[in-house]
Amino acid sequence: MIDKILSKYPFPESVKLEIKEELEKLNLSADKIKALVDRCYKAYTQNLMEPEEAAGIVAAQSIGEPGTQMTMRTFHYAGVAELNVTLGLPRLIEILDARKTPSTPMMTIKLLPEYAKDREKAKEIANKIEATYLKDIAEIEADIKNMKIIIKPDRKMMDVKELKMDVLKKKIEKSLKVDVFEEDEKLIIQVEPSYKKLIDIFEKLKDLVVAGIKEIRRVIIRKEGDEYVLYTEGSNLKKVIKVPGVDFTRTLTNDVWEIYEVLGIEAARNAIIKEALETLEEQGLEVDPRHIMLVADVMTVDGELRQIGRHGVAGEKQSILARAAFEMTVNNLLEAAIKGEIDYLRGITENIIVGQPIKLGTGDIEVTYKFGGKR
Amino acid sequence: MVLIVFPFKYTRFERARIVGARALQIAMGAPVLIETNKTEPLEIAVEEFERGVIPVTVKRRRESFIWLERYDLF
Repeated sequence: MIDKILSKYPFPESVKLEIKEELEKLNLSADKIKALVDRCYKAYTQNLMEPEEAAGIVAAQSIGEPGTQMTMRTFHYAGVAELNVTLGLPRLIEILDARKTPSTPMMTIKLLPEYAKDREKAKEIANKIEATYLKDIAEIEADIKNMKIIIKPDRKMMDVKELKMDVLKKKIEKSLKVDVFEEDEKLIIQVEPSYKKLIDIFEKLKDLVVAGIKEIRRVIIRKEGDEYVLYTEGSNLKKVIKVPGVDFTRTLTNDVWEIYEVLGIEAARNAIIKEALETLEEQGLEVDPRHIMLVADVMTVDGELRQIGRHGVAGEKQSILARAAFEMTVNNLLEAAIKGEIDYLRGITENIIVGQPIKLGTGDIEVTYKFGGKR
Repeated sequence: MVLIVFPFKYTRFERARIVGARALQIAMGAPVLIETNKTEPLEIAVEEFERGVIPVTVKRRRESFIWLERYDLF
């Protein structure tokens, strides 16, 4: 019944769902539901934007003004002096520029119910995810006299990380393309008689990741409510969601590009909105989500992530004059002249430059004669 | 009850445009269509608009939702 009444109103789906949820709690008669939905519709139409309104300018001002109040303080320690995150203006710029990697990539990994309750099991997953360097679990020595490198793995550390000798051996062989011999609990690499090569391999061994995901430098386990949550420094969504025990439906990263590549453009749009709102909120600034949504929409309309700026939204404008008005005026005009581009003067910027009325607000309304006007 | 997607009689821009056009006519000597004591053309035009006697309306390019073209966006 609620569905039937709601279907007559042109609400967006999300609003319909919200109203339905509230109505189901109340358990009202059909008349009352109708009256209530009607009130909702009135409130909804009052919040709609009128056609011709300069939505973009309003959004720009609404984000820009609080932006001036943002502190230049860049770092902030989340929780008990553990992970540091870029916040404030630098972070906002990072989001709008759609940088490939944020300066402090971070992930919040939620676990499946059977892992989330148990600290030991959570730790197990944390060990699987965290990058383990060879230098952390083994002693590496260079024997210059015999042109050998000797690796002495630490038994205890190996057990903690659940590593086996033969796995380690294969890993080294594969990533360095050298032959490794096993000799009573030690791994030996025989190097050709070249001092440079020996040092080269020695340095590489030090930074070799033998287990876990390379990008994830540190994992912190924290209890939140009744479940354990993993926080990581560094981010690699693609690999993390494949780890068994990770609940990938609730796992987050702050790297928008990674979300775009793994989950697609709509997810990236939501990520931009979420990240931007969180950054502003953390600074105690309140910006209506719709302004940010507009920005996120503009960044993602084409189906690919584009930054706001020269290499994205502003640089790909169809109009020459609009591009020239933004940045690199001479370059843009010269290039357009060489290519013989045509400006159709359809946008706002071009028409302001040329000195014509713009197609916005009162400027975009045509008046005609109305027949049969009453007295 | 008929619901349309843009449920406005006239938007505030359309109102301004109509009143403005009418005020110009009055200022240039067009006959006033209502009985009033006002002398300011703009005030007369506003009153005429409120009474609905201005013989002017707007031409809307779109009455309802349409997909925008690429050049409409940027």
